[in-house]
Amino acid sequence: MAIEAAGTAAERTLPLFPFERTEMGPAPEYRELRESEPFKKVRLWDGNVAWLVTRYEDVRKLLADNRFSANPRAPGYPNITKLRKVLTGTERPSFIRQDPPDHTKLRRMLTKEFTHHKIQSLRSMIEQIVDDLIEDMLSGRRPVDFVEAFALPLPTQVIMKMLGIPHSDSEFFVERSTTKVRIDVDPQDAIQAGVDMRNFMRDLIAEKSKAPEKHDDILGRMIVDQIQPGHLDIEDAVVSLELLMMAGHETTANMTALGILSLIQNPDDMERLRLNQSDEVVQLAVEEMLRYHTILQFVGTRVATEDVDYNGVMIRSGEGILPMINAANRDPRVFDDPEIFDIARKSTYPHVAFGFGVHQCLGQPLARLELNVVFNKLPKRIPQIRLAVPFDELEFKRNVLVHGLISMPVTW
Amino acid sequence: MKIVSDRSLCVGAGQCVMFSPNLFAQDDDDGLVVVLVADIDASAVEDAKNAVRACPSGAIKLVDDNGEEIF
Repeated sequence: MAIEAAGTAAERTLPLFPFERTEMGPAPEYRELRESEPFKKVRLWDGNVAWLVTRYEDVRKLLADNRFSANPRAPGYPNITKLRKVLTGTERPSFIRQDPPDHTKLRRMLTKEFTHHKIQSLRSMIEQIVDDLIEDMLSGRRPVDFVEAFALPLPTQVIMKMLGIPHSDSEFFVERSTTKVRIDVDPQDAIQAGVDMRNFMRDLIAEKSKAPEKHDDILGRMIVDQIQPGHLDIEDAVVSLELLMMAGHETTANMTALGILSLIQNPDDMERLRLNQSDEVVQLAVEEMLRYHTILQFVGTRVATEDVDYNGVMIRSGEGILPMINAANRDPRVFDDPEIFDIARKSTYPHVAFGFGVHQCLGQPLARLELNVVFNKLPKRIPQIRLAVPFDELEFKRNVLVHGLISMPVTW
Repeated sequence: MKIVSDRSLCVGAGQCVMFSPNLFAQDDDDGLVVVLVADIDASAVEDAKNAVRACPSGAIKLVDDNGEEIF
């Protein structure tokens, strides 16, 4: 039987997910579904049927409910694309694709590296990198691709320094990471990109294990504290390192470019940040950028491991759920005029751009610090920054796992 | 009113520290929650509630003098 023919006749009439997003916002369909059908059955590429969830409160509650599994190998797990299914079916899973208690054990080996206290100690290092990149842009030719010149190198350099990976290998990682998060590549290419990164990490662990105490970085401490005493399997270490490397640069890079684009589109906001002397103004602006753009498109896909009666909605064991954080972050029940970009916005409940539940982003203090440094400095140093092409010619990533800009030519 | 935490539920996301740095910290050794001020007066209640709302794993809550959960 062809895979397209799977499911009952009724299921075949369900809307096909994912929907097309827009450049600056999630799929428009979410707005109506949130009001009319906050739990909506949708059909995936392989005929699998899952519950699309679009209200803030429901998204938070479901992501915090450990009766739903994040393990892609659990029966019924909703795979957004064929490529994701192939990838997660062949690769050793990182802790974000495991459930407690295995998840908890692996994540906790890294939490001390990402505490607020620890991350704040990196501020001067991050400021230096930002200053250097701004100087390079100012002294270079115009127009310049903001993604290549600034948005991507900043978080890449920071996470590589933290992990203890030589700077000379950044191109290797950026290229492979970019391939792996795309959804329109040959699955073999994505698998190979993962294999390459993991081989690199395995070799680096072997190299650093000769004298790990000499390395004042995450990998050095991981070897001394976890691998050598036998708490952590080398293959799990390899997978965790690949995850940190990828999650550490893709996300902040995309947020930085989209954030600047928002300021270019809203000159009053750019001016407010240029004149600003208070950390709080920048902090609020960064939180609004995170809420408004919510770049992670499809995180939070889960499958019920038992029957769950959620306020009268019966979610059967083996049924998938798609609690969409980008839909939650535009819920008018929580955010007034949610479609408006408002850098002074305050809300009682925080946005869920970093997810919710036990899998909420480990690196969020780092992402926030990087973005706060960027939006403290850039509007002051290059306030005239503007697009060098019409908005319509910008290349967006759209339905890649992480939304963002492929390139953004700017001048000033 | 009292803040109680459950380290077994904590995932070290640090939301409590971000929203209420006067009431919470993270253990340097494992990143898990440390309650700096357990007994809070009325002036700190909003601060504590912000932390409870933001905690992704349900590791902190507010209880009354009888130990009953109130937020």
